[in-house]
Amino acid sequence: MRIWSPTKYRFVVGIAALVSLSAMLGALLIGQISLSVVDVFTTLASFTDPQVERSVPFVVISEIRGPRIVAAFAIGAALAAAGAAYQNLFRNPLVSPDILGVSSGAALGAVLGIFLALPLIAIQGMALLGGLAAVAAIYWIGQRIRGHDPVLTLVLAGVVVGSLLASGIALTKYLADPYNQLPTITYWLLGSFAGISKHDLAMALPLMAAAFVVLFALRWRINLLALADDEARALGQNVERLRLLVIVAATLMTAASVAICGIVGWIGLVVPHAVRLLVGAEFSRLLPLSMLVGGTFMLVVDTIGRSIAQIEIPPGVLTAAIGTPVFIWLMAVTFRRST
Amino acid sequence: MSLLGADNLGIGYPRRRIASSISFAVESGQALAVLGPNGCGKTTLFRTLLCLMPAQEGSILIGGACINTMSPADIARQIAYVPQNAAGFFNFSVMEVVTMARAPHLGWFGAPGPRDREIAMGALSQVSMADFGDREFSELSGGERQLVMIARALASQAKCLLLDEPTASLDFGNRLMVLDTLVALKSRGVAILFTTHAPENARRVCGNDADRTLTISRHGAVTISSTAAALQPKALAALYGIHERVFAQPVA
Repeated sequence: MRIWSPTKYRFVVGIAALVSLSAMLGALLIGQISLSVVDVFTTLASFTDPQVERSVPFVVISEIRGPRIVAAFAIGAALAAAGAAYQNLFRNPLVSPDILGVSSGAALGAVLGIFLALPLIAIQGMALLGGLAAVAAIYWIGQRIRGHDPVLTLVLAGVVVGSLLASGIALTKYLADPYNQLPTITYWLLGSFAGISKHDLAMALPLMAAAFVVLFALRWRINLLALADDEARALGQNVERLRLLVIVAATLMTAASVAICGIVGWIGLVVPHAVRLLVGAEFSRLLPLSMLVGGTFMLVVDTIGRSIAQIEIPPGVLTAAIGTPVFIWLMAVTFRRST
Repeated sequence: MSLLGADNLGIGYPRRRIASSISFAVESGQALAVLGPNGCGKTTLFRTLLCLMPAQEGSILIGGACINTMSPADIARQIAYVPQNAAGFFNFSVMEVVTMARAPHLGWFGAPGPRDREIAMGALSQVSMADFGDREFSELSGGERQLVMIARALASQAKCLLLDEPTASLDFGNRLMVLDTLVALKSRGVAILFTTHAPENARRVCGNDADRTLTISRHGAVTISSTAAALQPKALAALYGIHERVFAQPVA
């Protein structure tokens, strides 16, 4: 297969951006109170005008659907970006943001917060801390155990620490009040965009943006991490420092998402993997398209989840239902091509 | 002044010295073959020369300067490494693989520009792979991959190439193609160091009077001599621990 030319790539990114915008518009229209395109555009046009009447479309857009759409898109984009970075870092197209125990650590933090009946902001803070602490622990283990392939050590440490954290979550659920806390914990672990407010966004978006700036600035140099360590070092690269920077950035993105919406699996695994099959592994091409596809996918899944049935279907359930067959298909395609 | 030299170099680990008293100097247009049985320390020697592991004694000189005074990027601009059997983990294009060699010339947040791509293209032409620029690296044959890795080393604009087993697991045709590329590069002033399991490779690339062959025995004894002397049946028999009679039939 020949790699796409720059013109073709730019064209496809343009199309993807248009699809993203239409998906956002579509998501603004769909819901219990249906809005027309005219409603949406007149409201958006007068959005910053303080004199504007607090009409129904205005409230629906500014308080309910707007934050939810921004959150779904940002989280999808962040998870896809983190997944792309992790896959490059671990030289393995089958890893995801969960690989370093980020999601489990963040989940344990949040579950403990719910268990201790902390306020919402403290629960989110604990999720963030839990995710970062899990990765710090795994990275520390990787540094202590020398003489093995460092990437393999990190992955294995991630798997074992992840299962320890999962048992911590199980214990907390076991001890939790089965009438009040347990449903909240279960609901949160499934992931949900229903409760996301402007305040949540104000906390999560700056963290995601900061992490994105780091990944974007390093978008070419990250490619060197796909080489064997000796090769990258022989090219003058300080591999440890680069790897640490990328881990911190990708973890921050993942933990900030988990903190406001719970665990949504599959996006970080399937989206970058599929995009890599299309545009190749070069990170400065992989990153923007993965983020557009991840954001749009998450947004579409959430919009379907909140509109096809009387009750909301948790996005984690839908991403898994769509992600599993897509992933199996991708594996089949990849293996057929490599043989 | 030599491009790359070692002065009384000792390689290995603090508790396990692999070889000592290695001294050599390679100049522009010169080749040095490193021969020795499996596990004798050929790769350790290369990793030490590339500053990927510390020297146990002695010093390494690049362009007359001691390697300890240089940054990793400085070193990477002077000597380039061609690893053994580069695997294609991901679907990078050939051009993207070669352009990675521009890393030591760019800042942390930099990306290669037109000039860097021009240099990469020039490097690909030098190994006759200019038409392969937008092909996927992982789909190339073993010999083509090896040529691309050599092009990547050239694209760093290093004057000295270190190749670890450049012909390992290549078929006869690919092996000759890679060896002839090395000879052609040598004639254009590139200094070449390579390890090999096949003495006939040393003869093919290091045939000139100026070229040298370095041997490391299983016990860490190091010799450096003309290639012709190193390839004497008696010397080879001692190096690989076999009987001289094996060479009754000429090797190549």
